[in-house]
Amino acid sequence: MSKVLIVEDEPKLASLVADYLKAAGYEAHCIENGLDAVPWIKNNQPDLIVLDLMLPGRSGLEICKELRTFSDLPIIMVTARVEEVDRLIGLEAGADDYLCKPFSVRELVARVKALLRRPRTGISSKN
Amino acid sequence: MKLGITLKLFLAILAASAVAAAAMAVATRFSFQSGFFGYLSHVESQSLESFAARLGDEYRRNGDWSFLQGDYGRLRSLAAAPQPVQRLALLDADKRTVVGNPDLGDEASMRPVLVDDRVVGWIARSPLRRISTAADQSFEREQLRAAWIIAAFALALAAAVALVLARIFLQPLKRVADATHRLAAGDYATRVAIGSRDELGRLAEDFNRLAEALQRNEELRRRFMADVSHELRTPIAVLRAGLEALEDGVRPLTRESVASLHGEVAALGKLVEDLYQLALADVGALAYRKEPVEVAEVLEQATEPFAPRFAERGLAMQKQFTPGLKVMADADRLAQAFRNLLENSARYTDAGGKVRVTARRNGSGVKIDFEDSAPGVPADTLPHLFERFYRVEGSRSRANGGAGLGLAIVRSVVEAHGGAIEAGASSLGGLRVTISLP
Repeated sequence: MSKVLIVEDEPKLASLVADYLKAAGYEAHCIENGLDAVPWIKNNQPDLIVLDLMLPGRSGLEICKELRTFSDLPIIMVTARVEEVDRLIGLEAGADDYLCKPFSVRELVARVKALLRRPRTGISSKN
Repeated sequence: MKLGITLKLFLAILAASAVAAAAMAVATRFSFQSGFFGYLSHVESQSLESFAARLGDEYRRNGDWSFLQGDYGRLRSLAAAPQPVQRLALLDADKRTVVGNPDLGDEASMRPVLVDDRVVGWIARSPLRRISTAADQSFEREQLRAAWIIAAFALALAAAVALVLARIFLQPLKRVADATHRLAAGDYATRVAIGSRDELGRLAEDFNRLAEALQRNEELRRRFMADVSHELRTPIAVLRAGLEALEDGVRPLTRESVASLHGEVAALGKLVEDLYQLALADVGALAYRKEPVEVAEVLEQATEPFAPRFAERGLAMQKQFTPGLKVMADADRLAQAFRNLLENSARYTDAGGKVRVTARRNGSGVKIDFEDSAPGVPADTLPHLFERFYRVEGSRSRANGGAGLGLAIVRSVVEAHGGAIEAGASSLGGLRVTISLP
């Protein structure tokens, strides 16, 4: 069972997303503070991260950049910032996908599925 | 007809030049005429001198004037050019006309004809009234023609200079006008080069300031709209996710799940209400009904409703109000500002702490302190505290409440009253907000 980490400071939204992911057959874990994200990821090796940009403690952008220094696990950014430049910055920082609030949780789950379906190591996994 | 300002200025300069040229032409002509007359008179009197001498010689030869009596032709031959004979008469010693024009009148100047120092007759001559000889007239015409040509040249030169001057003078004005046109079309980055230190230079300077203010306002407005839409997005995201979860059966439709969604709607309502209050406060002094207000009374009214909440969290409320403090204020708005500050303390002060409100006289005005105990606010965030949508790190979670508008509303209200607001560290260990009202 794939493990999904949700880093989101709005607990109601986080738990709703978690419930959806659990209903879709994933294991979901929620973190509210940006500072806790990287240590948890190092200890628990999730398969995918749903990352909010505006977080207490540490911004989602910084977390994303640090993750990319040691891991290429899929990251879906979720934020209330909707300008094109924000999306560009997010994708540039290493996000694999970008969703703007208010988003459809169904769509988020569909995107999580799509990203997890893709073989991480590309062609080599077929061998 | 619509005249451009360049054309108007050109015509004005040209008209001034033309008037000056005309005045000069008239003056020149007048001066020429009197000078020319003087010259002609002088020439005439000189020839008169020799005329008188010739007449004297004739008289000596003939012994009397009888040889000339009525002989006009003889007189003319003696006079010789340029003596105009029709303005001359010869009179005998008793001033009786011998020959010549008998109607010279009293204006005529008299010149004696002398023979051996004895007056034997008089030459009467009427003064020169107009230029009469053909040569003199043609000389005068020549002069007049030259004057006209000079005037025409002067006018043409003036026109050329006026055109250039009008262009030069109006260049800066035209720049400002063009820039204003661009500004009106919405290009707020427009600036004008300031070329001079005169009124037009100041106009350009003021224009630049205006454009800058517009640009800044536009930027603030855009940022504010982005912030508002950002703040609205999160509760809507929760609502949408919650409703979808109910639809898809991920969450059961229970009383609790509905209440949770209702809470989001309430938060949205509160945000909209705060935005409205902020807009009201921004409208400024116009919408305020100011009257003499007892500060302690307003503070009492504002603090009272918080008593149960403070008690619930174990917060002790300390009040020190100097009685009789009066300010000109809108009591409702002021009370709202105080409530927002107390709300802040109630929300962000650790349980078991303290909240102190003091009001005292400060010169001719009033100073009000709102203080609370730990946790404090980091010093570097103090200047941003009253900005819209600003939330101190750690208090930003919406679980704690506010959208970051409460303190912005407080500042707007205080400033609309002509007061000042300032935040600092409290001796109680938390935040101190000081309001000074005039």
